[in-house]
Amino acid sequence: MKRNDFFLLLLLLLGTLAAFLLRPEPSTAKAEHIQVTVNGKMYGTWKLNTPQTITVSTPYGENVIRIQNGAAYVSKADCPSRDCMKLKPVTNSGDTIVCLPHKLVVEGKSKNGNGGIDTIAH
Amino acid sequence: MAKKITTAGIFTAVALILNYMEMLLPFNIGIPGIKPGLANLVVLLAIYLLPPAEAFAIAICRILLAGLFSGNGIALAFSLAGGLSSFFFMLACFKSNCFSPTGVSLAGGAVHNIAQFITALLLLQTQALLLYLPFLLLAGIAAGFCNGLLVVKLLSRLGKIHIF
Ligand SMILES: [Zn+2]
Repeated sequence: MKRNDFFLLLLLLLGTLAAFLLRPEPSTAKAEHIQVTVNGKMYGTWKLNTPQTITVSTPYGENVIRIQNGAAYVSKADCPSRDCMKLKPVTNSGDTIVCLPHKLVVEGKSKNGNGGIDTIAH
Repeated sequence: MAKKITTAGIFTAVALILNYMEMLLPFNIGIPGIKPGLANLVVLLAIYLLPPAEAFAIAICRILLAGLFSGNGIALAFSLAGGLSSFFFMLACFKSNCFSPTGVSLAGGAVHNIAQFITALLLLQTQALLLYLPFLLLAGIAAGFCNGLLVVKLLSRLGKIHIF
């Protein structure tokens, strides 16, 4: 390794540290509902306290979201890697599940929660 | 010419195999997009051993063929963003002669994940992704560093075979 390599490594690690310190604080407040967006546009919201199965069918593909025990996760998807099915279920406000190939984001929201529609309603 | 195509073909095939092996790995820590990026190792080797045009052909063929297997346009755009930006960045670092292969690979790994992060941000339009950024960066650095060390080893072995 050259000396420049070490400088580069140091620079990158500093950048990572900055990104870590500046990142939005992960919330510990339980989410009340989930908000599903597709391609940046609102698709719908669903209560987390009602067990249900939601099929999100869009031109990009299909994801089935399962809600039970106050948690939401992707139970079925027809995207290539199916990464979205392996992600941590949404329970807290601010938690997200992303299905990149389908441009789908599932985000946990609470009534007095962070950002989104609820804040505007105040 | 035939020899050039054969060499490029072998590199691309090895990259595709590594790509596929990675898909089989149960490698998931709850964050999308974090992978060891072993195929990038082949691209880096190509930058060192072959002319830039051939290295570029290998980088792009690998992405297009892997995209063909998965058959999703957005996933393809995503890997193109990461693959091409890291290729050009690594090529520039290599040409500058300022870094060892470890440094070049380090830069490539970080740029790869930053480019994918920006693509995801543009695609999904949600700030929630910012939470992932430090982990993506760290993963890119770690993967780039390990791949770089491997490339140093491979270069010293392959340098003894006079086919390049
Ligand atoms: Zn998915």
